[in-house]
Amino acid sequence: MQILPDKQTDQNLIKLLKANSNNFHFNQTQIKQRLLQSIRQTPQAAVRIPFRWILEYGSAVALIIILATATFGFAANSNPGDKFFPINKWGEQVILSLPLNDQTIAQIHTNIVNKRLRALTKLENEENQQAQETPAINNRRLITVKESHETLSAAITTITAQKEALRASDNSESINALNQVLTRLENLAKQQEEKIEAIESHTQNDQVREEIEDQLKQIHEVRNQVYQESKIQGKSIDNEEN
Amino acid sequence: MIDEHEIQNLVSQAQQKDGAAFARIYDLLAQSIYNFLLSKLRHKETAEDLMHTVFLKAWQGLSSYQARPNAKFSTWLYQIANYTLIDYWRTKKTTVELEVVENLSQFAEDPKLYEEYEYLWKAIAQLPLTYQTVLDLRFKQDLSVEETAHIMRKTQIGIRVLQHRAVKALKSKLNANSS
Repeated sequence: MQILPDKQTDQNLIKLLKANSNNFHFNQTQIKQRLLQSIRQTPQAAVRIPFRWILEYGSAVALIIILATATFGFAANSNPGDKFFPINKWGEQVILSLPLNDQTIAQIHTNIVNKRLRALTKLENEENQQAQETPAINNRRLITVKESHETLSAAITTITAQKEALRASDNSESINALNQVLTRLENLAKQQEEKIEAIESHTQNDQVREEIEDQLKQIHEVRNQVYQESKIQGKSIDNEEN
Repeated sequence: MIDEHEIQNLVSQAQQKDGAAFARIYDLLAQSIYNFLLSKLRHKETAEDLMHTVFLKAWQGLSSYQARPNAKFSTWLYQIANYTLIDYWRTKKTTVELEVVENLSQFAEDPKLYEEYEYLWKAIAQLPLTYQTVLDLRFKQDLSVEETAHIMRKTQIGIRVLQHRAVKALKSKLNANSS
């Protein structure tokens, strides 16, 4: 028997809708069997990364790259003793570890030595304006001088090894190109010595002056080594000895 | 009352390609999905075909399903069912003709109850699909506004507005049909 509605309020209508939920019969088993057969033949799709995640993580990665670039850019101008200098130094090592040809590596070494020379020049100029010597200043002096020595030694060690390898293959042209780099390095080493001597003369602390003097001697030895190495042409060692 | 914790455990197993776990999910949720589909399609074979489609899509998309706090797995399944229905409706028909629909009382568990309120179901069947869906989900399936909004990909305010319009439209239909 159908019940025809009179004018019903919304609430009554909603009650009616809620009260008259009815399940319908269907071939549950048959559909299930068909479904199980289908899923055996149908693989699950690969995990789809939601676009929201791509956006969020992509933004985070982009921000990290921007920050890293900004940090490296800022660090590139830092000098020994500065807060960001270790990052700068790390960046230099990364570049030197790249698979580049001998001449490029040698040039990079030269550029680094040149950077240290500029740091020494900057330090010398700052000291000309400083009235008083402080532990911070002495610390900076020592670090800058040591870095100068280290980079020069690293350069000559690398280039000497490169020349040895090239001599074995009798590559005169490349050896001569490296000799030109060595000549430039020797010139840079001479300038470094001059700067360090000036810094040493400003240093009042005896211990610091002694350490600077020690570094200076070592740089002088390296400079001689660079000079000697730059004179060795692209001939075999046996021929040189003869 | 279906235990959501049990379903989530089964979902985790099914995501590891466990067909038996997925079959159990089907056993637990098939009836409510079928009710949802049949009440709109009003054709048994079509509803059963779409049931198969819905669960197959669920299987295929299971690896990208992620459990959310305060959200049931059935909500996700209803979402698939709703869009499957919309796709079908778009390709097959735009309005329900009373003459071609089947008499659903023959399929109802309680045919007398169904017949008693057949005037109500016929009026609902004449409404646009979105109105039918919101009335079904909110009152027959007794889902919350939040769940309904998630299934229909609308805001909660949108659902409240839609529900209000659907009830108003149903009242108009009932009055029109009775007169």
